[in-house]
Amino acid sequence: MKAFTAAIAATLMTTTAYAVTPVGSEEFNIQPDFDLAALTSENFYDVVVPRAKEEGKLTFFDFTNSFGPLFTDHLLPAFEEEYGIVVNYIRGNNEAAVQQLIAANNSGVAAPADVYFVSSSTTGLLLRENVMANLPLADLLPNADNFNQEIARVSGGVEHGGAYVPFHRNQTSIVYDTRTVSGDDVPTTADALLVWAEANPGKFVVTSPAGGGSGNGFMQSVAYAKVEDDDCRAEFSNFAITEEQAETYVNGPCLTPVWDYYKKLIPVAEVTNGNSDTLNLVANGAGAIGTAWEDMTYDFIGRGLLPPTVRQQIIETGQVGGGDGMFLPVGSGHPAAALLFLDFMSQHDIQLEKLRINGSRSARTDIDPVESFSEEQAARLIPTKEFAERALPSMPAPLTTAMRDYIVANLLRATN
Amino acid sequence: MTPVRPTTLLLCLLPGVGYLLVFFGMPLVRVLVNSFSGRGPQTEVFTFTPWITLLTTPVYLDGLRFSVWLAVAPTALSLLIALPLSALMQANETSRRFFGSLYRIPLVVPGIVAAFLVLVMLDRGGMASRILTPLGIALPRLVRDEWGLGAIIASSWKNIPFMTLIISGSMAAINKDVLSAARTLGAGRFTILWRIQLPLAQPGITAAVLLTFISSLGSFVVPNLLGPSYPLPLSVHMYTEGFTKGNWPLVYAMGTLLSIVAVGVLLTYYAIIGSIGQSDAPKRAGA
Repeated sequence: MKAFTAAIAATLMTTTAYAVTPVGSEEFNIQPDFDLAALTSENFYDVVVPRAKEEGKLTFFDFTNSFGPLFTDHLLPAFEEEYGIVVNYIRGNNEAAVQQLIAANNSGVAAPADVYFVSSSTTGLLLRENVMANLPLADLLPNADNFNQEIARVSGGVEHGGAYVPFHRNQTSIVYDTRTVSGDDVPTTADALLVWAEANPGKFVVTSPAGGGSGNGFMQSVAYAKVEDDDCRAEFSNFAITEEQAETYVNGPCLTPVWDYYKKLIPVAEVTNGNSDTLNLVANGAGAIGTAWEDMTYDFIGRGLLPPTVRQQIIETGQVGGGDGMFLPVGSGHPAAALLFLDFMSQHDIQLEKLRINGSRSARTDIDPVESFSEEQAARLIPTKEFAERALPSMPAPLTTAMRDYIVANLLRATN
Repeated sequence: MTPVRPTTLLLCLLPGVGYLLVFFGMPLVRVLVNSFSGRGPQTEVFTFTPWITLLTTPVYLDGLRFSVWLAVAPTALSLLIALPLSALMQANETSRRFFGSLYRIPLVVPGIVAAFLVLVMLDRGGMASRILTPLGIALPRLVRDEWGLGAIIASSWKNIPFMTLIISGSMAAINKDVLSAARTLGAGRFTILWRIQLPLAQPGITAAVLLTFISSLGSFVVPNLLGPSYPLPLSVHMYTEGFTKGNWPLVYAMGTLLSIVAVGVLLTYYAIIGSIGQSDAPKRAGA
């Protein structure tokens, strides 16, 4: 009898262990023609593939500038060939597409696209406006099982419970041109960077925290380096922090060392309005060291927009990373095809292909860039050991927004 | 004569007035009304919060001042160049052809291309500094500078042909007999320009100035590419607040404020022009 009860319990546990529940709600905010409550990662293909083939097509939106050839020449044909589902591929402006989706949802009409690949900076807005399907895809998609679980659930400093699939990973870094500063002389700590900037005015190019992700990432990295109090540091991973609490926090004593750092840095650094702007100054020799994104630098070197003498590093106390992802919108006209597409884009070989072509890292834990890259390609990336030891997670979005606003209102304003 | 019935009059006016109401009036009213709305479904239907935020936040007030500066400076610089250029084009057929072909080139170049041209030429390490540095000449800071000089240069470069087109058209419409009469009476080239061409071309100059001012006031791409990291013009704040924060009531308030500034400038300009006309009138009458 005991064995029978244990068997029943085990069966029930097996079933319930894989049944997904809505993220942050009692009910799913999408109603496809199959039972989401009964959908598991085990029966995913049995349920989804036939319906996806019936739907026969989907519309995919891509916000990036640099992923176009990867999708059109490699990934989309591979998906179409495997499943016979036609993909209508659209590229455009991230913010405009998100606003269009919100407007469509508010008007009660179908979403303009079935899968969105958008910047993680809009994750909070998508959740607030309830336009992202509240499916825990990190648990549901069979190919998501090898994702780093923290990355699969938090993006852009926002906890989304796995509804936003981490397609592309990136890492902020410090870039330097070995023509103007040798690798041995490049500062490896935040303090050393400040000393170097003071000794070489205008040569350290910092993206404004309000202007580009690398500047915002550097701001967070300085906070990780300069804030030592444990209670203060606890807020760096408090994803329940509200906008009001974040504002109180940034006006309190915890971040004083960060503000002091920026007070000294801004007058001697070149503060730019964007990531490309920073890299352009390094490219034309006006800047020697700058804040950057790893994948963007990799791409710029590969396309000849930066000289091959440019290298990347992460400071000793670490620098934050991020990434962008895909989601199924509320109001998708082809939800099964969209789910299958999201699963397809998460698989090992696809992520590896993306890494090889675009230098875009993966949230999968079973992909090692070193094994997949040529020596020349590897030199364009952050050294693997540094990446493994020094990559830090992004802070909560309300906190980084409040920090950014503080710097603009109190520090950039004071020096202009 | 049979009086026109009010309904007939309304029907006659409907195509013009109706079009203006639907495509101009309604969006403006909606922007104004929404600037007093709360952010999100859980907040108040009517609130002054966006306006209080806009008018009490130093960053936004600096943004407003910078927006006005980035509208006034290129307008003034463009006018300074477009006026003599337009006058020169009236001198003879050769100068009309020469300047006519020269000023049209920037007319066909989009604003963003103009901004990139300035960036490539005048940024630190750009083409100009590469040419001049070996000669021992250092360019002043023109991109990302606190006065927005790069943005002003790009806007002016783009606006000069536009202004010249309108002003030279106005000047070309002046009766040549008037200019000949002035010359016969001994007026020099500058006197003719100052006393005859400019006053008679004033409607065209006014239109050119206002159109340039208003388009520069809402300029986004040029200051975003070439302007400093602080202050940012309101147009850039509008983009950030709307598209990254979803704070549309604040965006509507900023848009309304920019429109009010534009209308204010328009009224001030007309007041100044009107007062000049009035102050000239007694002299003429006396003469």
